[in-house]
Amino acid sequence: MRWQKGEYYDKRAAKQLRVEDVERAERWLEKLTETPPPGDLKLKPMEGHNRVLCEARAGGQNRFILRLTRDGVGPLFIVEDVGPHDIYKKHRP
Amino acid sequence: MGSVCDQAVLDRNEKSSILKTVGDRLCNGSIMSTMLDFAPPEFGFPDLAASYKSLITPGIEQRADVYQIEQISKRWLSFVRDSNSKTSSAIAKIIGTCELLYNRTIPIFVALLETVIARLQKDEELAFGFLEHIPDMTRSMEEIFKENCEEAIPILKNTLSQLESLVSDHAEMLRDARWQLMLRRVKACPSKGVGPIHGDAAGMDEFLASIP
Repeated sequence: MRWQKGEYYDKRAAKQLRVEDVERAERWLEKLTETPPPGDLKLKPMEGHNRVLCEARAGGQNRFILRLTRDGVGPLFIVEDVGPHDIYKKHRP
Repeated sequence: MGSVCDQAVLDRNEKSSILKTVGDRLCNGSIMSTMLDFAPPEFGFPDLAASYKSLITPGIEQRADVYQIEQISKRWLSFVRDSNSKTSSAIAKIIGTCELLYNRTIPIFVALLETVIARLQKDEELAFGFLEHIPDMTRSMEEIFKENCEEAIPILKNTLSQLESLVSDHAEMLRDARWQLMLRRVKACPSKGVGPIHGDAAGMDEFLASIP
């Protein structure tokens, strides 16, 4: 898969994740390079966004927001944002 | 001159002015008060254990009975339910305000989102910290109750279990709102790509078409 960081990504990651989670997210981003991406990345379009916005796991309880666009070469994911998402699951009965 | 999104992020004077008007009212006023802010002083969050303990510690003139403990539990659960309802209403107002601003002026909208998203995450972390604290709280309170008011242990367990579920609801509500606003931010202000492009496009269209 083709991907590139968005201009605000690093700033948002630094604000919304702990330092160790930022580093782990970088490692998970590398998985996006494979086609097809590994299943544990759980890459999928987000509901209600016309397949333009997608989500993928960013390690631990974090997820990426990816925006699908196209350039002269072909499809390209712009990595827009990342943040905690699944942290309350263990508190559910 | 950069894009409107650059201005929203970089123009400190403008941002400061916006926060003084819309942002402050939304984020630092009564609307987005946390559970901590709402907590009644006599049962100060997160010192539920201390509240119970003060009622049953030997030495005070009148020890709490099961009825009193039940009343405290009911009051606490009612407080958290009320807090959830207030939070839900606050979130609806915030999202409504964001939608209104989105249609009028992108820079104000983006600057406001930066602040609201950060605040929602901070509140989520508070709620999550409380959830993490519940097992220890349960253990230490059980110890106290064993010595002083054993018959209230089922009430305690039931209260804490309900509390955990309600605080989870609260945290998830904040999380869902934060993600909704994060997505809105991406749509309002999509990033330009920076730095190297990784991977290649071969097989990508086929894969994307195959995802349900």
